[in-house]
Amino acid sequence: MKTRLSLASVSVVIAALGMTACTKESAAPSGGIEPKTMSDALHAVLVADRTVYTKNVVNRLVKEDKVIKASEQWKDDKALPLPAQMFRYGSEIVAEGDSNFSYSLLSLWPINDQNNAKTEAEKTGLKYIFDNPGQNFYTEESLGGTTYFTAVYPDVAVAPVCVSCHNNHKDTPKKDFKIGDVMGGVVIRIPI
Amino acid sequence: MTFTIAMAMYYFNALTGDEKNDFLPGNTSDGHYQIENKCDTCHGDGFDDRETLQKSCVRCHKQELKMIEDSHPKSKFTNPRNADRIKILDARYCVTCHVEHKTGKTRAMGVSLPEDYCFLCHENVEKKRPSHKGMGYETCDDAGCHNYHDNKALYEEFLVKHNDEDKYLPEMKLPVKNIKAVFRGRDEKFTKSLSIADIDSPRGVVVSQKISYQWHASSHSKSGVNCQECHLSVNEKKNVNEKKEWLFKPNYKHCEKCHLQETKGFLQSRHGMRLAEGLPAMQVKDARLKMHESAKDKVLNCQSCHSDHSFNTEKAAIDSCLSCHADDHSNAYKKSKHYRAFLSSMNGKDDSKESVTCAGCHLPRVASQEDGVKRILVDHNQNNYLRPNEKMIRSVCMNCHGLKFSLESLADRKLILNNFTGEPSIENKGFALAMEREALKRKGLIKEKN
Repeated sequence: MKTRLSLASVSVVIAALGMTACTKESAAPSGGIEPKTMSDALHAVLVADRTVYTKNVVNRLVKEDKVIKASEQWKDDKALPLPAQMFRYGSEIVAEGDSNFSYSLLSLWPINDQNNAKTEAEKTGLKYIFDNPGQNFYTEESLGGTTYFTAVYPDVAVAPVCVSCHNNHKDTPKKDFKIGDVMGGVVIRIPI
Repeated sequence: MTFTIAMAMYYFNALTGDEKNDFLPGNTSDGHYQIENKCDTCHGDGFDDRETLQKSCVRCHKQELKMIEDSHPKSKFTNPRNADRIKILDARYCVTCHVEHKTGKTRAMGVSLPEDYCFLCHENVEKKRPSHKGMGYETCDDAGCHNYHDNKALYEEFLVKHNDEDKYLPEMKLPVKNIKAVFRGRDEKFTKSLSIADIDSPRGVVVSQKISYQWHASSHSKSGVNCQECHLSVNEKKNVNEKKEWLFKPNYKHCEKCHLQETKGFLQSRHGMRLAEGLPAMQVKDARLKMHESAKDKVLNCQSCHSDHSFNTEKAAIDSCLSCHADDHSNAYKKSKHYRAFLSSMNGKDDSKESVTCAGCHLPRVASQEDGVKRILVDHNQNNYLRPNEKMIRSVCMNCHGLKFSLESLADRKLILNNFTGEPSIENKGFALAMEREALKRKGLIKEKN
């Protein structure tokens, strides 16, 4: 992130956003944007795109207009990628570059076991956002010799396709999701 | 003194010339020995670090990994949450698993790691897949179960979808090339058929009767491609003042003008990879596979398979291959059912002129899009369909055969050697496991085992 904000404008943004959740303060690099501000901004974009794709593309075309299917094997089935896949593909493209941040979609009830909580921060964070609806979780953690600002945001079932797909998947460990439930969490990491 | 000078000259030549064998620390793998004398292809300028090596790997293999939808791309391991994993196996770098110059330690596909590498991350597989309990680490890639990179024909839903397929599919047909239609759609000149009287060789160049007839019978004359299209020098620097010269022996750069995709594949292939690196072309005697002694001095370029002027693709698809390759699999081809199918198609008993040849399987016809135009062209890079051999299941075998039969046949070494004469003796257990889970899913009985 090469964008730099003045200290004053950063303060205004922080004040506007408020620190509404479990937060471990982390210092901003001198003259730079605070990790939390950057993480919240990234999440705002991610969740907006994810919601638009889920509601206006997948749910509309699959559930309402019934013109195409969404499938995990979307290439073979000539179907739409699932919203979670769309999200993951984006994170993999980011991971191919040197963007200096990473994000993942994780859950305590993942379809793919690789997306289960693994680090202590992930375990604590996912439990926190499930136990405290509407709140985010912020902390710092050390992984592979680097310290990260780690944020965990609730990933909520926003459309019928979210719950129907997860509840009916043969690899799901949970079959009773409802719209509005926290199904998992978006984890953003920024090295500090 | 004389001895010292001679030694100095020898090592100077060895270091600066194409022959650097004396400096190789160990044998290179079957996939890289062709270019082993050009150290900088992989090592860059100064035998730098693994970042340099990684860039070299990616430069040649990126497209291939994209095509197969790599199951373990680097991007999965750069996420900090996998820091613990890369400590055990740093999968961000190709050289973690594929170290070159490891004589005696390099296994198939250039893998230099011990066989149990899957377990380093998937040791708890039986938690999610109880059916895998007790399976040894050496069974992961058994009979077409799993690959590290390419699982396009092996994933569970694919097995379920194709479980009921018979040995022979109801419609057995290889894709038909559409190169003529593509060219004719691109430029009207390719629709014009030329006669011998149209030959446009310059004054002073004598075209023999044999060459004239070969060209006239070829697809080139029927598609308006005259002598000058191939024999005039290629203006590589796009210099408007450069005068084009007549070349008696055009090279791949001339073919590339029209056959870009085909040439690109050839330059990535085992046949052409030396040319791509600016090295002298491969000769048959350089091969590690068994070849005919009589072919040892043959040089590998476009014409060595397609022959100048006649460009007979049928000859290129069988006879050219068998004129060099002398291993058991190649030698058994003309006794195989595949060859009988080819003869049958040539006798007009089959509607399709595209049949099972050496090239039909190893340099198959594949569909691609260019400028919105769908093209079915021959992929001249056999690496895309070679090892692991499950790479050829979808693009080749499944044009005619069911998935299970295909996987079991390719897992049977004896069948490969006799060119698939007989039935597979190996059972792929993946289908039974996949169908078992499918049945449980339908009953709603699959539960996480804690």
